[in-house]
Amino acid sequence: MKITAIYCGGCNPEIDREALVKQIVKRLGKPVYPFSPGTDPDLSLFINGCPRQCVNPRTAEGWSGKAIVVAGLSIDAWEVSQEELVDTLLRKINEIEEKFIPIN
Amino acid sequence: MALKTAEKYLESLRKLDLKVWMFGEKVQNIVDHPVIRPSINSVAKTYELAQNDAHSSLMTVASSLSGERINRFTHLHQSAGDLVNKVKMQRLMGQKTATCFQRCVGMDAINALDSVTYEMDLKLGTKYHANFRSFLRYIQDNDLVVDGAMTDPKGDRSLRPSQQPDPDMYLRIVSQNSDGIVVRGAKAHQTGAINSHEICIMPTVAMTEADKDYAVSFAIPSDSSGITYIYGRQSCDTRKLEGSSIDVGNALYGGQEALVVFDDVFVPRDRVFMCREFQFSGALVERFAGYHRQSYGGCKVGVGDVLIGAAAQMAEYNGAAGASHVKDKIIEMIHLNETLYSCGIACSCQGHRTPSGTYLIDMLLANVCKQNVTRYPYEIARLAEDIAGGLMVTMPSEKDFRHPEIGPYIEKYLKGVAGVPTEHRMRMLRLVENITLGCAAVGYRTESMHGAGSPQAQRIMIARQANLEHKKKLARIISGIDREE
Repeated sequence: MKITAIYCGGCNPEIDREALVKQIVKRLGKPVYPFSPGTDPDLSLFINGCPRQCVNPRTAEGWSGKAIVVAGLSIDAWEVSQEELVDTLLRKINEIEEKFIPIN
Repeated sequence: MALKTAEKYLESLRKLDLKVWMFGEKVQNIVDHPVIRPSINSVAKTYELAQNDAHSSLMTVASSLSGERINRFTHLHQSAGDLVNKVKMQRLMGQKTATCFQRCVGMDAINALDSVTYEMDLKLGTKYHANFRSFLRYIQDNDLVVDGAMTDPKGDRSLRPSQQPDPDMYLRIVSQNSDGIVVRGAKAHQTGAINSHEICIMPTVAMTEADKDYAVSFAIPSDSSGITYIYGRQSCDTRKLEGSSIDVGNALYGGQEALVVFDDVFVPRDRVFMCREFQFSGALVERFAGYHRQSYGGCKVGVGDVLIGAAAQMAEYNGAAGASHVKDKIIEMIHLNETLYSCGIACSCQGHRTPSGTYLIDMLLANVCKQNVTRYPYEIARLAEDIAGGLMVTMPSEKDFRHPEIGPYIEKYLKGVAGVPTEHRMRMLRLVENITLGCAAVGYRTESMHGAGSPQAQRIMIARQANLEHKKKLARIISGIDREE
């Protein structure tokens, strides 16, 4: 399952977005690609520094697959603590991966 | 059609059987009582402007529940744009009434309850969200006023609710059965309670397990058995009993607060939104407070517009409008007022969707907004008093002004520039007095300080919301201590 990260501009973040993705990469044991047109990911991680959700499935262009929106200390609009953030995101990624059927 | 006219609203208030006390007497007719009526007129204005073509696009919105056109005061915000329009509507209402128009607490309560009951049900397996949505649909369909009631008397502030010597210092559940719950306690400073059809209760602080009987939220008709309203005094309130139109400063509109007592009041099960789920009491308090702190970036700004206008008008009436220091003071008032508005708009633009679909403001910016509101209206009021002059508080009464023997003295000696009647000067001075230290000062000054939480409450939230570690890291990188990763 190909995963990409789409970042917000990072103007006033309440979380360290890059550190979060690095921890996810380390715990997943596989890459999370930066988003670019034509990447065609199976899962798009929308990584926002604050709850405003400046990047999300409604506003971003060219993304594909499933979506998870991290927005500050929230995942898919549900509040999480700083301590729970990585584990909760990993659990959501794993849930999607378990149901993932590759299309060849 | 979900929208009521102002006349229908007044008619609906006459049908309520409220137990209201004022000056040691039970009030028999609240609608026509001269002390209460201006506050009713303020709420009625929310109905009137919703029917006005020039304002209906701001005052009304399509319901997210029914698709019907509803008053925005009963709406669940569905976008950041909705949050912005809320603040704009509040500024408009402040401009039109020059006082607290009282319908915001209910709007802020329903928006907080929508997201919290939704999340509580999903996390704890409770069934409150359906109760809440059913209640809200009834409110929207009938265009009703809801008093959002949060503040408990609190007794000894150093003790938790369950530790108070008198257990009723926070509203609590005293018994329950399969039909519902019975509650006892009181809610203080209840803005617009006597002008409301429904009263919606929320806890006032985050509760612990030991306080779970105090973790309660519900809505009931305002004239339910066991509820008593004790009317709050306002500075200069008895001027409304004198039949004067000048001395009251604002003869048409006013605000209203009451101490609301719940003496073993029964709440049916389907109107309960929280019953001992202490884990979610903090979220409900924070979200309601956040919405209400946003509100002040609109309503107080509208009243500020009137006060700035009154100060500028007084400067002209006094012949001082050309003085550079007066011009500068008015610029300062505008700067302060628009800064408040900027905060209200900013926390709205930065709002985000919650799992229920309802939008929540940016908490940090909403708290910054309210923190500024605890200060700037005081400075605006000070400058208005400076420009108006001392006559504002030494001027004779309207009765003396109208008196055939002494009235001509007042007409002659209180005259300002030529071409402006003395009465106009007196009216404008009384308006400034009304907003800065009369009845409307309840809303413009002390409510700015303590409404939606006292200043320290915002500072706690600001400390919690700001990412100080990020700021320190930025400084370490720029100063060369750390490298950018």
